[in-house]
Amino acid sequence: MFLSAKKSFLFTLPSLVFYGLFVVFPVFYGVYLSFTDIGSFIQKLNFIGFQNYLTIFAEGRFQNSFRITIIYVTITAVLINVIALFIAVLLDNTRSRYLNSVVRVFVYLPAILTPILIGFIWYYIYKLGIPALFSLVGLKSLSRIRFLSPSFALSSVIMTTCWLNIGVAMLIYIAGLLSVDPNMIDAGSIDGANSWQKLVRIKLPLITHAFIINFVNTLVFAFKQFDQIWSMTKGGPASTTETLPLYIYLVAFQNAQIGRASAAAYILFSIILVVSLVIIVSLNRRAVRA
Amino acid sequence: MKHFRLGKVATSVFLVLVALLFFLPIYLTILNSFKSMPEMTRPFYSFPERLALENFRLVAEGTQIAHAFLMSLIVVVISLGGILFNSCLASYAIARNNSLFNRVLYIVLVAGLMMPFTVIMIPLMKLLGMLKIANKYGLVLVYFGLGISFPIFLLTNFIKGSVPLELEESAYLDGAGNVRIFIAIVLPLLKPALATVITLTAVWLFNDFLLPSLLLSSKEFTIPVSQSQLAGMFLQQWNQMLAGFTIIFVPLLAFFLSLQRYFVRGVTEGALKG
Repeated sequence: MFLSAKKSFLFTLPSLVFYGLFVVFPVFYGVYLSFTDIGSFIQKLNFIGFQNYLTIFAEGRFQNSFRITIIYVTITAVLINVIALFIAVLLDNTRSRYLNSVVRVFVYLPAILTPILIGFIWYYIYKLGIPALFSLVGLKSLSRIRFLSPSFALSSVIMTTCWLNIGVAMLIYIAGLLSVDPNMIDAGSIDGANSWQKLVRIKLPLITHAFIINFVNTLVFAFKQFDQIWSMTKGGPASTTETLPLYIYLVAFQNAQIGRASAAAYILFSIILVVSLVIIVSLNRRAVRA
Repeated sequence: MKHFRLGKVATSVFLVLVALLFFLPIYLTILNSFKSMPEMTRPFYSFPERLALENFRLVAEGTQIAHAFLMSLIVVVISLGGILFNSCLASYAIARNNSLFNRVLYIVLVAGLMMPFTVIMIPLMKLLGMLKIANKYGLVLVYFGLGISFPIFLLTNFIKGSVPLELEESAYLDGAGNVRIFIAIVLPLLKPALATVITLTAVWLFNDFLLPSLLLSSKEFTIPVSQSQLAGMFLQQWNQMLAGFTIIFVPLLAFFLSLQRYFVRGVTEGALKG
């Protein structure tokens, strides 16, 4: 190896310093804070062990937030992947290049727009746009639904998250489908497989890799999501859209209970790591090595 | 055969509808940003009778959107510089020296992609407070670390896969030092990967909201922070709010459309190589 250990270390040094100081250190410092009774930012702190964890586990607000996070993350991940795969398969069967690139651009577009502003736009779309659309097509009863009321707010937030992230998943599925060796498909045709069988028996098993990435990606994306939910609902009404990132923010800055917020943050991070690892390991085992 | 054709047409029509559906919210944003106050009571989808350009003037004057834009640009450019410097050097070392230390470092760096910012938000704010840099300088310095995960992930794989080691070895035998090899041989070959990294990172930096909202004072607000604050105030005059959004989205869309292929490459390559 012509890059010696010493030189290699020097090359990584700037990254080590900044990443170590501003990312790795805060993670461990956060763990420490979660074991203290710190309230506001300036307060002195005492070590109290697992007290914060026990408190939030017993607290209705955290339980509610935990439940909402799981619902939100699961439904968005499933919806995004189903819809993205559906669009990708249709595009894969379309020979028109023009149509292909137009659809790809339009579906991916939301992913580059500012999420915090997207939330405000969708707030008006749910408040005015969708009811107006329903009355336009004559569905008066549906136009009276209040999409941001407690019973519908979570579904509305989920739909917007899907709109934001379907494009990314779609691009990855398209790339996966394109990478399937055409010889495999031809072999299938010779054996008399119809297009549905070719899709389900040949193509989809060969893109397991894309499934793994997309499932991890969409789950992480949903677990992380703060901006869009914050600007759409601020966690409300009545905490029905308060996922864990919003819970952490609100408990830390509105309620000044930093110790508890830190405990919740650490729980959130642990869930993400465990879920991602489980998906990667379990799907990898089933992956077809082509 | 006829049935087959019909299916194709139906698929194409369906795909066009999907594309339009995805674009609808953006179209509505632009459409409604041209409506005057009295017209806001008319249906959401109706065309404005005349283009209320004063919305744009009011927003531009009242909210110093140009200033926020400038702040955003400064933050993006400086942060991007630091991120590129850090990540190019580190990626090269990780790709070319497969020590245990570097392998662990790589995993720790890539794990950062899975970490919600809210997880480190509180300890980071406390840390920046202690270092007395809970301000715009701290913001940029934090990005130097927070933003390197994706670039290092992409660049390391790119160097391993597409930069031929033989070139570097022969330069090494000719007596070139590691730094010189890196600058003269590796960096020029990194261009396609760097284009991808720059576009995706720039958009992420531009759109980021939570960290700047916690660190910047109101005179230094970047676009997402200033516009979201205004959106809270403009609840009744959403035509003006949407005018502000239109002003921001148009350059973003132009940026995206002109550099489309780098976005696509970044999303798919980053993903499929992992």
